[in-house]
Amino acid sequence: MTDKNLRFLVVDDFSTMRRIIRNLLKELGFNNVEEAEDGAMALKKLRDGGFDFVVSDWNMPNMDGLTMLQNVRADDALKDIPVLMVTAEAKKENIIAAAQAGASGYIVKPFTAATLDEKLNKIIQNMAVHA
Amino acid sequence: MNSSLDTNEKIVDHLKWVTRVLHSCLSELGHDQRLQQASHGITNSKDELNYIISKTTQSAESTLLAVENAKPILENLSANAESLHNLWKQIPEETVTTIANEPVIHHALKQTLDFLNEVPDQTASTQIYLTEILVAQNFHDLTGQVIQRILQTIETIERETQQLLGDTPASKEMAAKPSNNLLNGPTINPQKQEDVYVNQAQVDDLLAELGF
Repeated sequence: MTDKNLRFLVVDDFSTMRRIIRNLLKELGFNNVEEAEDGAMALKKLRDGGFDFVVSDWNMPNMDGLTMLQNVRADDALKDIPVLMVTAEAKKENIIAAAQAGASGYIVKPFTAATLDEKLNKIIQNMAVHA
Repeated sequence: MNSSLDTNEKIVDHLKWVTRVLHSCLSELGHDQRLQQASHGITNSKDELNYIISKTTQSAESTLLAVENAKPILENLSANAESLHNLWKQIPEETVTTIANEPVIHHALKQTLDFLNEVPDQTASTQIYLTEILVAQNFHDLTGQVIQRILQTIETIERETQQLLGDTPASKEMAAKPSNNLLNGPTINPQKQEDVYVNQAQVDDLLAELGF
């Protein structure tokens, strides 16, 4: 049974994309969603605490998603939070770099609601196993 | 010390001379005109791309807002149909028998219950279509990223062209040259253009003036 109270942080510089993901999460039953518009703001919010899951874009001003992910994994307080990358960057090198940096999943834009649902559930099941 | 200053001055003078020669060559060959034309075109392209960004943003945002507003209406519709259906299921047995003896009411009730029963499935299908509309708005993010990149390229070209043109004064005639054809597409910059009618009231007024 999935905990619908999981607190999400959606990170993307495009408000349209944040809104799409927020709505999709709502449809999946997750209403506890906050937003950040770049990696730096996301990291600040994460360090304030309370987040269970991050859905992040890659290409953003100030701090990109990969750097944010690396910072999260290097921070003892944050390192276990799942980070799902949702990005238009579709090169093999990107996917490898994200995986090496410790991404929990990788979705290429444009994506469908079913893809987000599937990847999200896979990560949440893993969380339950390792909890 | 003095001799190195002298050398520097000589180099600067020489560079000035080379630049002047380059500019006069460009202008003799007529390239300055062409470059100015290109430069004007570049500026227009920037405005046009910004217009695309602004229109697609507006469009994606109003679509998202409409979807967000429609979803709870469907949820209510579904929940209300279900509770109304349950309410009818609770009517006492003897009333059911009475209704059964009234063919018109009996038929109307059956149709109503069938309808109420179908509403949740139909709203669920509509919700799926709404989600498709929602997700389809990701075009805004993707095309936006590409347009940003094109804008950066155009800005580089613009800088290079300006440097090549140097001090050549921009020809007013070229910049102000009105396009006198009838296929100009959407108006990108209504405030910069004369004789464009961007709202229907203006169009109606003009038509009225013309006697239509």
